[in-house]
Amino acid sequence: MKKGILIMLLSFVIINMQAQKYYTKEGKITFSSDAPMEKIEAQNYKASTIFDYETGAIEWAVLIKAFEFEKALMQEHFNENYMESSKFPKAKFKGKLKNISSLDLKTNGTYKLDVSGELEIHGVKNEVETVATFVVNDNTITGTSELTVLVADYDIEIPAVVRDNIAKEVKVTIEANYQEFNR
Amino acid sequence: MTKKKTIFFVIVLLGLIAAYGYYEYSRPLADLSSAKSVAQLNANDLYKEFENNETKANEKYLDKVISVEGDVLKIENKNNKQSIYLLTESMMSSIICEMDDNHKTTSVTEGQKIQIKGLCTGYLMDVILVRCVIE
Repeated sequence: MKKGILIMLLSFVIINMQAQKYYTKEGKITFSSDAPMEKIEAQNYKASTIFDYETGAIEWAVLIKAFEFEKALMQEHFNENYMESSKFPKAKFKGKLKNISSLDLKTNGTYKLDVSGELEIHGVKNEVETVATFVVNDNTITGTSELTVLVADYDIEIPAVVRDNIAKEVKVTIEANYQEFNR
Repeated sequence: MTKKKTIFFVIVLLGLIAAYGYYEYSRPLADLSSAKSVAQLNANDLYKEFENNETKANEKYLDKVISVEGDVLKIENKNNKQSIYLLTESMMSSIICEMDDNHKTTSVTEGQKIQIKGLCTGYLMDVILVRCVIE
């Protein structure tokens, strides 16, 4: 009898230790700047992200130089003039999924969770809030979200000459297919 | 006559400037297969340099074309991108090589030793190279 309880307790601990964190190293981040003169888009397929199913803590990190533009010149200006990516190679988000218990990873469905946290771009940190959508489909977990970033909030100056080419607000979309994190 | 010539010359010059401007504006990203790498090292050494001193490694390798030799841990095909993971001593970290779309490979297998050239974009959990080509 005592042994049975012990085994039950042990297996409970083991189950609890596993499958609490989900991650991917191939998260996708795209952004678009829709200005009167020009629409600029860029993609990055190498964002790392992890979330803790127990606490709701979520993190994203991305390398600025791995953003891919259609035109080389745009990519050079983005890195050299605006993001200064040699000085600030990464952008990061550290936040929390509110109401994480409403996300049921064992039941297929679409779950919308409020998320808030600190976004760091160009060495400047700002509090941001958005909604994260999780789609659970059998064994796959896909997380997506959207965020509008004000360029001026991150001390990125746009010279007057290209004011009509670069939008003041940049729309950022993120997408990740999470997998279990087993250490 | 000379006035006509001057006008003609100015028009040609303007045309050339416009053509150059357009060429610069629409220039695609360079293919790295003919680019010269500034360093040649093995996957584990590259990982260790970033792990030990990221700032210093960034100064050395960020935005530079480098050649890395290593054992293939896995090959991922996701989002229309192909990525080759090179093994390091760490359980958590790899060298992730995102292949150039025009240089995807079908001949590489897991465990194989390869040399790959790409643009170093920095270090998250892994060292990430983009626009890679196999050497």
